[in-house]
Amino acid sequence: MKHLILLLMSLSLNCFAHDDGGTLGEEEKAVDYFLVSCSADTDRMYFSISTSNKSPLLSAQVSKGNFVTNIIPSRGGVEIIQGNGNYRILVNKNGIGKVDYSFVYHCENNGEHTDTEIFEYRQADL
Amino acid sequence: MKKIAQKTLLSFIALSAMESAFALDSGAQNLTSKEGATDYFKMNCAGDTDHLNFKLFEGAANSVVEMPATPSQLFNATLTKLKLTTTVSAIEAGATKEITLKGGNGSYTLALDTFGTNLSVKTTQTYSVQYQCLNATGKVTVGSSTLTKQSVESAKKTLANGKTVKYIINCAKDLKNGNTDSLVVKLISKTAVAKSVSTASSALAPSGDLTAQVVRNYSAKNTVSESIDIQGGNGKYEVLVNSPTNKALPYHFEYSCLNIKNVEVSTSPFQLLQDQ
Repeated sequence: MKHLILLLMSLSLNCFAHDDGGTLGEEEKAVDYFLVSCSADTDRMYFSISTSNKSPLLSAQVSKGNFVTNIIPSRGGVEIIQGNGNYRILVNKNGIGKVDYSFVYHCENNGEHTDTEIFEYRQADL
Repeated sequence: MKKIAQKTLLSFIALSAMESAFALDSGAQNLTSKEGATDYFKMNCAGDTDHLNFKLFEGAANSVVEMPATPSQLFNATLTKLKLTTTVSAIEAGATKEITLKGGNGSYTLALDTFGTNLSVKTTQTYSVQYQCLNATGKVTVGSSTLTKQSVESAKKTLANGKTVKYIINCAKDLKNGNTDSLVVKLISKTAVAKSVSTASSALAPSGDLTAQVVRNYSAKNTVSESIDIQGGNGKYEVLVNSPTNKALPYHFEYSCLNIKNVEVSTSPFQLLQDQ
């Protein structure tokens, strides 16, 4: 019974948003790079980013194909309607100084979450 | 009609040569205050590209982009014998110059230095040397040096910025042609002609309202005003321009495909994929 409850909890986690985050290094050129893979039944990806640091200013760019949108913390949650496949997320800032951040993302279709996977390509020297 | 066609062709060739020799400027671009606004560009680097150099400027681009003269790498040569001295200055990359000193038989010193060179180019200069001891009528006498045999071009040598190198060349009497009257040294610069990236521009001090990201495969760098290099070899590089404050701003950028020696290779005009 205990095992069954754990299994149900694990399955139910897939229905909720995913969280990730990190810390951008000191340098102005710092970028954290993520790819979110959305399953074949996806029609959009949800994304929001937040930080407790006031300076430098944080931004993320979410792109797919030839479409890119810039997302700043005050923009709140954004639906990027670009179908299934890989959405690229770049996280950066407008000057020198470390910035801690977190973001929420998930793939969806008609309000239902679809399979979502994330791959991180953090820049080793930044 | 034929003349017009020829002129057009010559202009095209001249323009193509300029494009490959200097960093390209995007020209005036405008980012709107639309929420999420991002301009998106792609450019292709070919040849033996090692990296893309990129610099972002807030403000409008010059209406006429003036290409500044690129200070070349150079070295100087001085030939001395006792109190006699002669100098050839500013031997530029790729150039060949001769230096002559009428000093008779004996030991000459050839000194090479890089005073006045473009220090922003760190590449070590390369050169070779050839010499001849001559009599008063220009016939070869006896010459020797550890550098190379007389009349034979030396192996390629290197000279780093700020360094001086000296060689001894001995001239002597020849049984057939008599005494030496002068020593002639040919200096052959084998340094590649470097094209540094132009930074002259009508740009405002960065406000932090504009950022750009340059991406190549799975690596990316951000910039507000710093010149950045993305090392990704040949292929497509992406540029994204946006504002962390949602401000409408004019801007322009410069970019250049460079090889491992920081010499510009084939840089193509950019492709605009999204204009917001």
